[in-house]
Amino acid sequence: MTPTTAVPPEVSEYLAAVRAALDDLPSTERDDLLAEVEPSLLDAASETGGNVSARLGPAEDFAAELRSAAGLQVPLRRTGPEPRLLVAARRLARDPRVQELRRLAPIWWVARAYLLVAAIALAAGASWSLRYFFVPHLGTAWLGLLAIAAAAALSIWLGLRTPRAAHLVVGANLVLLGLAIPVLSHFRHRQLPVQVVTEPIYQPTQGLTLDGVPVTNIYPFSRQRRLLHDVLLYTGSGAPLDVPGAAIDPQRRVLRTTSGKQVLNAYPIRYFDPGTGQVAHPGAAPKVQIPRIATPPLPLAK
Amino acid sequence: MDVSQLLRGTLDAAALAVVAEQDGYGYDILRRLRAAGLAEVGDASVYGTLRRLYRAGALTSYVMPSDEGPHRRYYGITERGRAQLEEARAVWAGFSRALTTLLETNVEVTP
Repeated sequence: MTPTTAVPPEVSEYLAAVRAALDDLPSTERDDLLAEVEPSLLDAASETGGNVSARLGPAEDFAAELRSAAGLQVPLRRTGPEPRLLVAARRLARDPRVQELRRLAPIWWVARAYLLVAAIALAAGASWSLRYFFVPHLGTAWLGLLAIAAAAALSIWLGLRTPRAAHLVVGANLVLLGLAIPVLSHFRHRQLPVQVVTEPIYQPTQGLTLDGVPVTNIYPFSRQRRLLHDVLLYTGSGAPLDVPGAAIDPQRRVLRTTSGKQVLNAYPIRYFDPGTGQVAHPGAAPKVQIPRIATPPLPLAK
Repeated sequence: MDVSQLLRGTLDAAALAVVAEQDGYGYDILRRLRAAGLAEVGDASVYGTLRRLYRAGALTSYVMPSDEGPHRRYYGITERGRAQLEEARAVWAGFSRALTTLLETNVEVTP
């Protein structure tokens, strides 16, 4: 007798259906079971002839019985009619147009890897790169980028070798897809980084300033290089030019009007020696180089 | 109650008894079980049971080339399988005695 290893089409179809129904089992377990079933089905087919499924019943029932007898877990969906949504999803998954979309799966494999890294970074409260907003700082931005690349490589590797329809894979993918919610929410609500400005900020100081330094006293000199005293200064709008900080010094020699009102725009400001009511050095002034003035004095009306 | 329900708890012992008698492959064991009177035993139940007994160490297995098709996986009984079979025999003897006594007693069954 010549070896006849060719499997009749109806037997191979039946086996494929049984295999599909056992899709959630670990591959070694499933292969062991099918290695047992296949020769037995061929034996039965060659002996009894006739339709395999007519003799053995629907492949799904056969698989369920096999699984149960082998003491393997029975998936929940076998216990009752499948929810319509699941049936519709299966039908959709078999649609050729959807099958075509599966060619885009590698894009998802990269995306899920990124989502996982981003979600871990969010959970760990990591900061994010300012320049490349999508890169989390895992120590450094470079390490973050490296983690994303490593996760993407692992994800693609897994994507290439795991069966697509396995429940565990579908479930894991759904969980990863769910991670998109916190990650996208983070990008939506993140505060744009505030530019750190290092140049000095102009803050108006009260009173008189020169190059940003407060002026605390003014020493007027005549063109004959003589220090003037009690010179009243006014601005162009006629406001007295006061040095506000000095007004509160109790030792300040404050000029008063005949009616007793304080005059605070008299320069140079002088200070009494404590407890004396006397200015010790009325002619004291900073060392200044008064230039010789060549311009004739203004002709003033007498 | 039909035979298939009774078989559920006793298929392990039946399969072990068949293999203890002589090593066999899946379909051969199925045929011998049916020939012994268990006509209602399901194909998938037998194949699944054989795999489970093998995993549990009650059966050993080896592959034999076949002229008629793919290689066949033969099962033989192990020491552990024999012990399990002995235990099942004792349990079954006691159980069947008790049930026989019960069922053969003329008891009026009121619905």
